Amino acid sequence: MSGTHNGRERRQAAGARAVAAARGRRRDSTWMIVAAVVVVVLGVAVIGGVLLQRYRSNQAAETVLPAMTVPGSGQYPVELDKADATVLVGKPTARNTVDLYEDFLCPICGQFEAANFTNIEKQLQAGTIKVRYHLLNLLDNSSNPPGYSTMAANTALAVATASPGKFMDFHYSLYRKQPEEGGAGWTQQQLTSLANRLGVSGPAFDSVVNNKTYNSQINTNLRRAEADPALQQQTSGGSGFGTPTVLANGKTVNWQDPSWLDTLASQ
Amino acid sequence: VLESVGTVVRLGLAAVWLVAGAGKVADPGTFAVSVKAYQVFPDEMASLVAAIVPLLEMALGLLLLFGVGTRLVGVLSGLLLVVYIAGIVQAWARGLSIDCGCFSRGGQVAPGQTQYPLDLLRDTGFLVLAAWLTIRPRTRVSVDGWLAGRQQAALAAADDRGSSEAESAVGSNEQ
Repeated sequence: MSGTHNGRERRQAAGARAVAAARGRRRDSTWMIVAAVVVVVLGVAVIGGVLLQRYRSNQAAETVLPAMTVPGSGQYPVELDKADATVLVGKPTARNTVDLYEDFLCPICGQFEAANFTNIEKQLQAGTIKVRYHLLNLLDNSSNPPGYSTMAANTALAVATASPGKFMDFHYSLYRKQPEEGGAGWTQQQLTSLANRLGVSGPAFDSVVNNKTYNSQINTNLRRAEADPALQQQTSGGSGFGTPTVLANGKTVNWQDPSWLDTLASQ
Repeated sequence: VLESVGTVVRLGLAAVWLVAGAGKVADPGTFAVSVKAYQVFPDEMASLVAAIVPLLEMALGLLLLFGVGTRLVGVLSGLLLVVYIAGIVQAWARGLSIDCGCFSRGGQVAPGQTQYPLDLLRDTGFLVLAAWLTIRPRTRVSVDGWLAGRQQAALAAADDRGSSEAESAVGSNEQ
């Protein structure tokens, strides 16, 4: 009697153990699969990130900057101020002077150029304005490696040194094809190649590029601009100096007003 | 009720990761600048980190959206957030003036414009969400829930079979 009873209990206990074990195994294996899926998805994300990064930097390095010429840019003088590292463009008889503070890496400067280039060119040819280009390096730390802004500005000044008549072409081409902020920026080879294809080369150009002739003056110009009370503007983030900054006859103008240049030219 | 709260928490954190990740993927340069502004990594590393992190965030967001491995993803989300918080704290402590770049933008800002307490508060809030999912990973409309349901059904079926099999096995042993 008791033997049968014990046997039944034993049998039940063993059955429960077997079921629990099966349940445990099943739960473990499902959990392992889910964990594996999580790991695989995250792994794909990481590898994708690495590949994306490699693809982006390769693409940037292989970009050939299109050489674009500005029609009619030969109709007014272009003069490099070597001491000041600024470029004055326009007919000497023009009544109004526009001072442009720009950085070749700055996307908003690119927008400014895209929106205003045609009209600036028209006014320069008409002789209503002169434009003084201040090529700054505000965003020097926003490229990787840092320093694209300075390198681009120095190369533009090298163009103005060797062939002043090509400065506007170079300036225009570089704004039409800006590198990405935070990216590698164009290399010196890419910049030099652009200048060469615009017809600028020779020892005068090479010397400025290789000696980085204007780097320190570009730094000085930025510090001066940042300290100049006349150049401070209210932005969303308080008061300060930013690029682009546009002065008309020494006073800041709101260049986001589309009529700023026509208003000035008609004075 | 707790499962419903958990579901909202899960989808909320999923939205946070997806929005944060997508914003950075769309604007990679800006995010690279923000990573550099923390001054933790050498430049080369910073670019790589800037390329990986947005995709990682989006992957976490997708896993949470579908509710795959919610507890594990909760733990990993928490770890990532702890890293972010540590990054912001070290920037604050070193007196760097940067925007956290948490939702794109970012980089250096004027000294008066930092908002470290706000950034930290927000990230801590996200951390609470991640902790919730780690402690209570069961939520509605999730792959996890679906798998658990299927498993239960399978086990219920196996239970009958299992006990009779076990019984016959034990029985045969006794003979």
